[in-house]
Order: sequence, then structure tokens, then C-alpha cells
Amino acid sequence: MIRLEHVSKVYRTDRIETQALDAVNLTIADGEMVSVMGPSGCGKSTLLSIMGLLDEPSDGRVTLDGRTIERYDDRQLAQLRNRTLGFVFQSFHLIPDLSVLDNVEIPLLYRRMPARERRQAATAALERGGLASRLHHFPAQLSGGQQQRVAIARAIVGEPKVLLADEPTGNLDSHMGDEVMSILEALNADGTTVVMVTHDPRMAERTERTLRLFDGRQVH
Amino acid sequence: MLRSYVILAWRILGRRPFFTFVSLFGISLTLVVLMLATAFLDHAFGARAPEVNTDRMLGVFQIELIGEQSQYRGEAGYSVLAPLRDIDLAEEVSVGTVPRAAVTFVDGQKVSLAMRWVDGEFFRVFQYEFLEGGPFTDQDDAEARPVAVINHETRRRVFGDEEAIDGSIEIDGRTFRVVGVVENVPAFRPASFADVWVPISTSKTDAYLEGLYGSFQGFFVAPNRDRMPALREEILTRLAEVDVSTEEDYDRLHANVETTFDALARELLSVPSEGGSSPGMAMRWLILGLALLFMALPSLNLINLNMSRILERASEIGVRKSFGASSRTLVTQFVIENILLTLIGGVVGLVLATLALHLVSGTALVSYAELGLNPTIFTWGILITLAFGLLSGAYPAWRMSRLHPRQALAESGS
Repeated sequence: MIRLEHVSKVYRTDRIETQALDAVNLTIADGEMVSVMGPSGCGKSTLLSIMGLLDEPSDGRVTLDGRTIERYDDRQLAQLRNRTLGFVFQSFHLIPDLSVLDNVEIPLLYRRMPARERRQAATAALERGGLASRLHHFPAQLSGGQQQRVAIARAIVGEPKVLLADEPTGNLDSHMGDEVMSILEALNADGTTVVMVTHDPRMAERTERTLRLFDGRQVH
Repeated sequence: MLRSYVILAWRILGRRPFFTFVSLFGISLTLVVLMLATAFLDHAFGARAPEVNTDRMLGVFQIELIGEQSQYRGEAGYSVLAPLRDIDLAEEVSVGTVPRAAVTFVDGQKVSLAMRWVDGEFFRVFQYEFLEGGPFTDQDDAEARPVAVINHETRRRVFGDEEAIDGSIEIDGRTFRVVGVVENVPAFRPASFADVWVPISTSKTDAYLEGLYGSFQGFFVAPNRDRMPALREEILTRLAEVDVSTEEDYDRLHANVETTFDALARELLSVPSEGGSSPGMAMRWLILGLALLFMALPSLNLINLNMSRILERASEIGVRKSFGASSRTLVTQFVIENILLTLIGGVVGLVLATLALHLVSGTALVSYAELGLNPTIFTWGILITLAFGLLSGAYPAWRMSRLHPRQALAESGS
């Protein structure tokens, strides 16, 4: 379960102060599939970053998997992200110098899993995304849809409880977008909590619930 | 995990050939220079034949005679040092001159030589490698026998393929019988370098027996390092007893009793004779400082290159942090990558340094320098390389690890 209580986020530079989130309260239950919508700059990605422990709120409290994230140090946060969360990004963020298989192994590297087990788990995750024949390709040799499927394989290889996807279909055509969405639905059906930021109402309709943000505030 | 880092580092090096070339060039060039310097220092100051006792040997290399109007600084006279031969605290004591220019003729061709007049104990203080024959003795010196020990190069030039032992060599109009041939000693070993060694008593005149100044140095070997301070004190006490009234311009004698390294450092750094500071320590700090400075310049350059290279990898940093890498893990990864790069540079540098040492040894830049890679220099080379890798990799890695994951992902266009 993810719970945000009165969460605010302010970005400050020397001259400007930007309120990215303003007193957001929300709860996402285990196994839910939720979309987050709103215009550009309304705080969707910031919300996802805070849920994913990639950013700290300026105010308020975040609870993840029963743990309140306060005074967690860098190492503890890294461990919690590794065990609990999976990320899918709009621009895939695959490491170009690593093969598809090596990219997918990354979360397992930080669990100090033996190499053989890592290979097996990464291969299984890629097979699930229909990429069994692309294990030793490099990201540049794949289409956008295939790259996003690799990114999803990387996100789920460690069997996280929560999958956070930031516009996962944003860089894909509608056919590939549907394909990726189907994979996310299947993962959710298997019990993974999915939180997805999207601009696309068609994709949002396929989730159980849609959170709407405007100027950093939650609207109903 | 280490395997994964190494594979990634290898691929990244291949992806940026120009960056890799510039980095490797800087590292290997620096290493070549540092290893040449290390080889020279090892050759000049390392415990190697004939100076195997340097760590427990003290010398009186120069004295100072001080008067109200006059001052003399230079080598001592025989009469100052000869009485010190009976110091009990020393295992061995030897007195001999500094090398002096001498000539011999071979088939009408003039051959210049560096010649030392030494006592028999000189060959026990300095353990020369005898290729033929052996040293002359105290008895030879006592009876003024015209015998000589020559180095390998002199043997080659004077005797060629003929037998050298018991052969004659005429030096400055005087004929000596060769009793031994030793391995060449490089010129930057001022305490032991020479081409020819003959007994002190074979000097043309007895004038060397008189006077407080001359061209003599004294060498004292302590039984072990712990006894060196006591030995130094004893030598100083005995030198203080030297009667300087025989030289009317002077009323005081001062001398430094020090190791060969300290003596050379004092000369190079122009440390005052009566200064309380240790010139050897100052020299060590200076060498270390110069080495660090020399390493710092290319390191700063590498730091710059590494910073830009790492910023290009912001996406990777963001991804790794998102999936569970702590800042410490990332620092380790980037330092390992940099150490791999510097180790490759190190191997290239070692090969180039070997070639450079071979080239330097082949020239007459320094007489009898036989520079080459040995375990000491190799170990220093590897240590320098690792230090280089850490110096140039740690700061960029630390800066990179501080990147906020959200910011890293945003900068790379999420």
C-alpha cells in the first residue's frame, strides 16, 4: 500500500519558488491499477517520483509497504526501491552499452544474486515480454516498442510489489502503446500494484481509477 | 557485480575511442616519466652492489674549517680521518679519496679515468661484484704495493680480449698490476663510483699525510641501524678533538656525519652545513611533492574528462539509483571503471618505460647506468597507476553519486 498524507513539494532556485505539489492526500491499495492524469507541469511526474522514493517531499508523510519513509538514509532508500518498486520511463532509459539481458539484470545486481540465477530471472522476464530472441541485442538494435518491453522486463525482474510507470506509452505509436498497456494489465492481474502517469485518456480508461492533478493539487 | 562493471567499463572505453586515447596517452606518459625517475632513484640510492650497507652506513663526506676571516668547505685531509679507524662502535671503517681525473694510454690513444686512492677496508665497506680476481688488502696498502682494481669498462678498453689479472696498467706515469675487475658502478653513486681503485700509499708523494684538508672521505658501517646514532655521536666527538691549531687561519672544525642520501640531498638542496634540519627528509618530501604534482596535472585533466563523460551517463546514474544502487555502490562502480582504464594505461606505460629505460641505458648520458625494470620499479609502477586511478576517478565518482535520481533522469530527457 502507498499512502501520501498532506504531501507538498516546492522546488526552489535562487529567484523562483515553484509549488509542484500542494497538500496531496491519497491511498493506493495493494493490487490496484491507478492512472494519474493532468496537464503538463501539474505535478504528475513529481508525484510519481515521491511515491518511488526518487524525491523527498517538502512537507507531509509518505508510507510505503507499511513503512513511513522518514529519516531513511541513502542506503536504506536504495534497498527499499530495489525490493519494493519497479520503474518504467517514457524514454525507456536503457543503458546503451549493455545488452538487453545485462540491462534487465540491473535490479538483481544490487541484491547480490549469483550470476546464474540473475541470468535465469532476466531471461524469464524477457521471455514474458516476447523478447526471447533479442537477449544479446543492444538497445539501439530494437524498435521503440521492443525497448519499452525490455524496460518493463527490467522493472518486473525483481518481482516488485509496485510498478511505477511514467508515461510508458508516450513515445510509442498506438499499436505498440496498446501492446505495452496489455503487459501492464497482465502484471496487475498477477497482483502487481500499477501506478501510471499518462496524458492519454484512452489508456487511463483501462485503469481502475484515475487521479487528476491540476497545479499540484488533487482534483476530483 | 565486478564482472558486470568490468564488461561495462570495457564497452564504454571502446565507445569513446578519442576519450580513451587521450586518457591512456596522459596516464602512460606520466607513468613513463615517473618510472624513469623511480629507476634513477633506485639506481642511485637503492641498496644494491656495491652499496649494500647504505642503510647502516655513515660517512664524513665534507668538513668545514671555520675561522674569523676564512672558511673552507670540502673534503678532509687524511690526517683528520685516519685516526677514526679505531672507533670500536663501527663494524668497518674505510678512508679513501673522491674520484680524481687520471689518464692512461692504449695504443697511443688517451683514455680518461676516474681514480680513487682507498685503503683495503674500502672493499669490505663497499661490496663490489668482482668479475675477475679480488680486492687488494690492508697489507698491500701498508706496503705501498702498486696494485689496482679496475672496472669492467676499463678492462675492456685497456685489455680487450687479453688476460687482465696480473696485467699492467700505466696511469699518470705509474705502472700498476691489476688484481681485480669489478662490475661498472654508475656515476650517480658518488660514494663508490670510479674506474680504478689503488692503495692510498701509492700516491706520488706523502703530502697527503699532512694538513686538515684534502680529498678524503670516511665511511663507517654500524653493526645495525639502531647503533647508528651512537656511532654518529662517537665520530663527532672524535672529530671535535682534532687539533685545528696547525692551520693558523682556522679555529674550529665542523663536519656532518650522515648517510650517502643525506649528503647528496644536502649538496643538491644547498642545506647549510650546520643546519639542524635533515636534508634527506627534505629531499624525500621534495621528491614525493614533485611526484604528486606531476601526477596531479594529468589527474586534473582526467578528472575533467571523467566529469563530462559521467554527465553524459546521467540516464544510467538515474536508472541505477532507481533500481537500488546506493551512492556508495555507484562510487565503487565508477572508481573500478577508472582503475581499469588506468591499469590499461599502466600496462602501456610499463612497456614504454621498459623501452625508454633500455634507450637511456644505451646512451652515454650517465656513465655505466644500467637502468631496467626490476620488481621494485614494477611495484612502484603499479602503485603509481592505482594512485592515479583513484586520484582521477574518486572525485568525479563522488560528484556523480550525489546526483539526485529524479534530476539525473530529467537531465537525460525523461
